[in-house]
Amino acid sequence: MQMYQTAQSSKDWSLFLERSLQSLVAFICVALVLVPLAPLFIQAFIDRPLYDSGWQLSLQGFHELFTSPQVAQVTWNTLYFMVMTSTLSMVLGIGAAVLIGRTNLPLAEALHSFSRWPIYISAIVLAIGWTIVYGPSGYITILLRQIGISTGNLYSLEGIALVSAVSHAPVTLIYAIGSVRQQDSSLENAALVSGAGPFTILRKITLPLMRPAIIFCVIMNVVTSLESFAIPLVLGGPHGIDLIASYIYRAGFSAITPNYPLVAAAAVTLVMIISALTVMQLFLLRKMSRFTTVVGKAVRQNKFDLGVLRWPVFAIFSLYIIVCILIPMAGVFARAFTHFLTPLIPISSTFTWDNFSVIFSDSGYVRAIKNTLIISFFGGMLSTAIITLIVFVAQRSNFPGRVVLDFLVQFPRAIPGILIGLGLFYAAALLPGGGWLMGTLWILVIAYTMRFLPNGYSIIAPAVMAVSQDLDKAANTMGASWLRVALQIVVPLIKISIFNCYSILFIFSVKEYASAIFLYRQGTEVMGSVLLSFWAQGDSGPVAALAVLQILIVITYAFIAGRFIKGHDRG
Amino acid sequence: MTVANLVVDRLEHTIGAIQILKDICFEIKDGEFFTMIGPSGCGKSTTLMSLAGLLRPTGGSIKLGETFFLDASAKRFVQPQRRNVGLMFQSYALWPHMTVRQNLMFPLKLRKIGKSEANKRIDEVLELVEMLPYSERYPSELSGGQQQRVALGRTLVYGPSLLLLDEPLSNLDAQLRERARLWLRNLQRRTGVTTVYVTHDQSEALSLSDRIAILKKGELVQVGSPIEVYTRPADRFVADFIGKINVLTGTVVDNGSAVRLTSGDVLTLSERQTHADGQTISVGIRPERIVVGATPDVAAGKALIHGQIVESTFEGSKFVHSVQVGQDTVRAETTDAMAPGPVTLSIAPQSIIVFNA
Repeated sequence: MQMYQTAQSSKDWSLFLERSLQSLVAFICVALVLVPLAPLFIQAFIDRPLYDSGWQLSLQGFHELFTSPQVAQVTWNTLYFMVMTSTLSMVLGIGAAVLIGRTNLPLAEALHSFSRWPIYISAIVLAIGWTIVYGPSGYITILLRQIGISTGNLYSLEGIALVSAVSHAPVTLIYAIGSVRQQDSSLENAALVSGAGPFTILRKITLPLMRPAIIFCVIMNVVTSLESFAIPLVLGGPHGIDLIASYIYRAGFSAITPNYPLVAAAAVTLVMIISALTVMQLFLLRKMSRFTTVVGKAVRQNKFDLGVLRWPVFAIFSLYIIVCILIPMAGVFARAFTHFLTPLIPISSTFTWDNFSVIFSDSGYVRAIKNTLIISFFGGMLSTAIITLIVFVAQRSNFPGRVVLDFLVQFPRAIPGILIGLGLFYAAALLPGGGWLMGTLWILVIAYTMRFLPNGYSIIAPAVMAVSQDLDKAANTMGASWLRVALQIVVPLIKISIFNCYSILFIFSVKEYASAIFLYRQGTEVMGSVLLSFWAQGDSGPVAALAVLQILIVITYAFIAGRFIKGHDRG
Repeated sequence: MTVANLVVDRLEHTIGAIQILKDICFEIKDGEFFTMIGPSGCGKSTTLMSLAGLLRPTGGSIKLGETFFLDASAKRFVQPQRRNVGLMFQSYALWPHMTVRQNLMFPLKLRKIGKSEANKRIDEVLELVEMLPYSERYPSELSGGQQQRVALGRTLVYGPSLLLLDEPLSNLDAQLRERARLWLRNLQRRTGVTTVYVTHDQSEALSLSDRIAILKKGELVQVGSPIEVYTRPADRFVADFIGKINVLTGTVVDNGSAVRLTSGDVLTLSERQTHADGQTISVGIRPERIVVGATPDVAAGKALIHGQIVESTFEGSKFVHSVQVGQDTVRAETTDAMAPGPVTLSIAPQSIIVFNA
């Protein structure tokens, strides 16, 4: 039989290159996670700014943190806010999941897609929308005042909690509906046969079965509320109400003489608390996925009959979507196309394109849009490529430290976006070349890659794990190297997941502001940072127009991506 | 082509305190069909993966011809992609995003074979595995049997110096499996490629192999031709694993030339034993070697023993009887039905296997 030999001489070389590439990828991964964290930790334990010479070890930052009355106030605010917004967001998310997933609610699928909208809208935009319609001089507020109804004050902790809950509820909905949809109806039927009514079953069977998902979502909401930054800044700013993340922003950035040790001590404390919660969450996630595999394929489910409550529940659900999501969004659009937005003057008479002209004639605004598109489009590609390589080293190589990588990539979940920015800001001040990096978009691409690393990894890693290792081994024994197997065998099989990862990274990057806030400079502004800083300056027209553009970018992308996926369905 | 024997010497694999492979030694001649068999966890797959290089054993050596694939003492290990072996998986591992032709093209591209030569070669191999008409199909458009043939074609197309098969027939249904077995045997003879085959199916092992290696708990128990391991199993484990066997205990009598069973019946042995008279030993007798209902003149030169048929089951081609002999139950087979009750069994001395343990 004819034998073909592999080219032996070049192979030693390629093996060396392969190992070097794996080491490089591992190094990038470790650097992405540790570079922003290390300076934060150092800064927390020294007596003066990191970049000053002659610093000494000191617990001064922590001492101030735990004795400052201001911090005590912020802590109480944060706890109060956390309890309120988490509770509300849980009720909204779990309630919507049960109603959509398990009852005969009319038009459930339409309500489902509307309920998920806030995911695609930046929290700043949502907060701005609420201010425009429900703020002290908001459109609806004035309208109601005219007919003698007074609304509560949006610029309060309760207001911040409400808007945050609306913003966070969709993520809870997504996790909860997954759990609701895989429940086995036979457990409920058993209760039905033994004489329980629908509401008893809901209380005693359905909800208890969702317990892992519910606990998971509680922790997630607590973490999200601790990280909350934009909504408190937009709504709490006017009255000086601070939560921990917005306090760190103000004290570390907009203060005239930032108290670096104090800010870093607060940051480190926050990271520690969230890390502990995240470890619990990851542990639960493992448990949940075990639960999922046991249940396996979708089962036929009975739907609870809401009976006479069917249409009233529908009305309440729709009202929630209209009041909390659609009207604020409509407010943003209306404000973008008007000189003023008030019920006292008809909208048609104040119609204008001026807000958009302002944006397109201001080089700062235009640059922000351009930068955002460049970072999202090209940076997203680069991040997706890096994340894919990290997945291959962690899941499909014999690289010595790969188990560590698998754990490490989840760690950025525990670091609030604003602290990723702060950490990189410190790191850039310390490391050679950091000063140059600060003036470029690269620093933002690095920050975003780190921030979205866990999100991207969680999309690509399961897809790679679902590809049988036999396919790799078969190619291996035939003479293919690690990289060739990855690129020619596995990548073509998971290309949809890689594209999904890119889409998430693109959309998240367009919306992102938290990690950019410490890192942008004149010339490297992005839409999120511009929205925040211009909002603070007060002119809401151009800000609304910019928000509209941001929403349009996301919608356009989602539309094109949807088409693209459909066209490649075969793969 | 030079003659390339495969020599496995003192192969060991330890993970922590667990010894997966212990002192595995065997030699496979060029062109031989060699089968490794054993219960799950016996180390047969570990050995196969060590040959492929997908696993790096902690000790011993593997040498093909003059090339060391593994020499643990010299820290030499050849990566799987440089061994030029063909490994076929139980799952076939066909790449679902490539057509049959693209699947076969992949290893040829790695070897930088020109396009026209590669296509000619692919046609030849697809012809050989009877899959040429399906060359443009995707794996998902093929039946299990067809996928199996494509997978084999893919491992043969680049002319591997060693063909490794990991339970390749276990995903086929029973009828197809028997046909595929014959086909595989013929194909291996025609290509003459040295083949190592792993299975847990003893009839597959017996019908396909030139030689069989039986493994147990990471150790090699016996290596021999199918007839050898069936008729002269090294111990009770092999006897039991390859085919069915009755095991009876008795005491040595007549200067080691016979065994007295617990029932009092005496079996004459073909060879004089070294055991002293009065010592307890166990003997094995294959059920199909027992003649049921024999008269003394038919059973000339054979031992005649008496028993009771207590239970019979019909299995289509034969009846299987449980015969009570003293305190032992003996399994025997006939083509015709037998009534329950007393029966005589005759056993030739050369059908009796003496176990040392």
